[in-house]
Amino acid sequence: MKYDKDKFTDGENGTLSVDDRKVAEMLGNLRIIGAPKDFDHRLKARIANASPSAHTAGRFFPVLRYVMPLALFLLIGGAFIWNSALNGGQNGVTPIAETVQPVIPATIARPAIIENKSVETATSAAPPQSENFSPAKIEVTAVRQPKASSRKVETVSENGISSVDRALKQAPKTILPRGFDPEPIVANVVPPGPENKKQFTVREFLAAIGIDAVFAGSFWKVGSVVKNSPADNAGLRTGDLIESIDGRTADEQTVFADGFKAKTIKIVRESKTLVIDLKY
Amino acid sequence: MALDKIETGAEVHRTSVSEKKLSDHALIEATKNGDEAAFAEIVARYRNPITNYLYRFLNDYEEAVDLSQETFVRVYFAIERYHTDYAFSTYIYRIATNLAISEIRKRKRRTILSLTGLFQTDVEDVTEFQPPDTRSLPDEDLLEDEKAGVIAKAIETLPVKYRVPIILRDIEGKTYDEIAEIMELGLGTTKSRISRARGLLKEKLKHYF
Repeated sequence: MKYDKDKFTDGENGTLSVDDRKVAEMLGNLRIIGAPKDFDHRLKARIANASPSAHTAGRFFPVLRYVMPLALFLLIGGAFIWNSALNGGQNGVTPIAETVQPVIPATIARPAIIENKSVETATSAAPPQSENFSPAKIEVTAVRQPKASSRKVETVSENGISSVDRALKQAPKTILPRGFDPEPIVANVVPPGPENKKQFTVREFLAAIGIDAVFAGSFWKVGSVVKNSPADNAGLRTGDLIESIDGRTADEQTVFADGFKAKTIKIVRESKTLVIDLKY
Repeated sequence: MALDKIETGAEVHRTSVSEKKLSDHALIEATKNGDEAAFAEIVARYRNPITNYLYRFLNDYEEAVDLSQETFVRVYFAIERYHTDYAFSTYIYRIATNLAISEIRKRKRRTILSLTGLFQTDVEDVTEFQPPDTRSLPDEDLLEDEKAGVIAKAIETLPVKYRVPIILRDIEGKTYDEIAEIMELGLGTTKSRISRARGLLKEKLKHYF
């Protein structure tokens, strides 16, 4: 593009091109439009009605306009994410399950998770419809023992009891809101947390009966025995090799339910296998 | 109230005689110190140039007056923050320019959102404020008014970045340095934009050449 030296000059520093001068003259000849006569009066009223904060805060208006909604959006979004992260994909049943937890008897709840045994074990451990029958127990037994009850009913029917008696003897069922499956409640029966510790390791069990042992591949080697402890009273000695406890193979992964009390310990002493009865 | 002395003619006359000798910066300092007549003198000095500038910018007299008043309101409430590093005229024109640009943006939003705008024609009455004139208008004046309306319309159609400097230069008579300060641009960019604005106007007003 050819440089036009007149392009960047005018009356201040040089001369304008003819056309530019005409344009400048046309604009310069326009009538000066002044303020109306009541300008000062209106301005005075405007200043009187305006608050200083309204005009100084205007500088921060863009911030308030854009940042505040964004912050609000992030806050709400964060709350939702945090809430969903806490629930951990329990599909919305968690609130009801949590309300049920405190009233469930521990003796029923624990074996379902720890021992991974069938529900019959749990129901047999629970007192079946005792005189101190509480609503909480109704709920748990209803959820947990459909198989047991049906099996029991079959047995009873073999003894000649009518279907009406069978129905009356069936455990009461909990009425749940529509759409709620009772199974997730069972899954949440055992509340998490250290305060509800429901299992302990073999090492902890041995320590509880007075044995300090080390796991040596396939058995526990007794290092020392506390005097007058259940283990000492049963006759266990240093150097004994513990193979099983109550018939269960004991390794580092084995865990016992809370309240578990072993009756027998199988050991190897001087190449001889012995079964020792524990006394508490 | 700071503007008590604006309205009463006798006091305005008495105060303005003494205040007119002062520079803008001196008036600002006096206003900061509570001299209400000093702010009245500032208003008297700048109300017409600022109103004229905003009118040529927006081509809407009522809007121009409204923004002109808003300009003075902002100056009044921000007077403590004003520093005398640069000219007061630069400061007040910058405020007026920013207000006008904001107003144009609002207009664009309103145009986009307005459904009725789809059915409106582009024909607008270009009316200029002028004091009542009892004399009969000769034909020459009528032609001149028509030409002024076309020029105003041509200016209004310029992009803002060209409209601001051309008005300040050819209508308000500001120097390049002042325009560069008002627009916060370099001197070369300012000159280039003015030149470009003249070129655009030349195309739009070629029938009057």
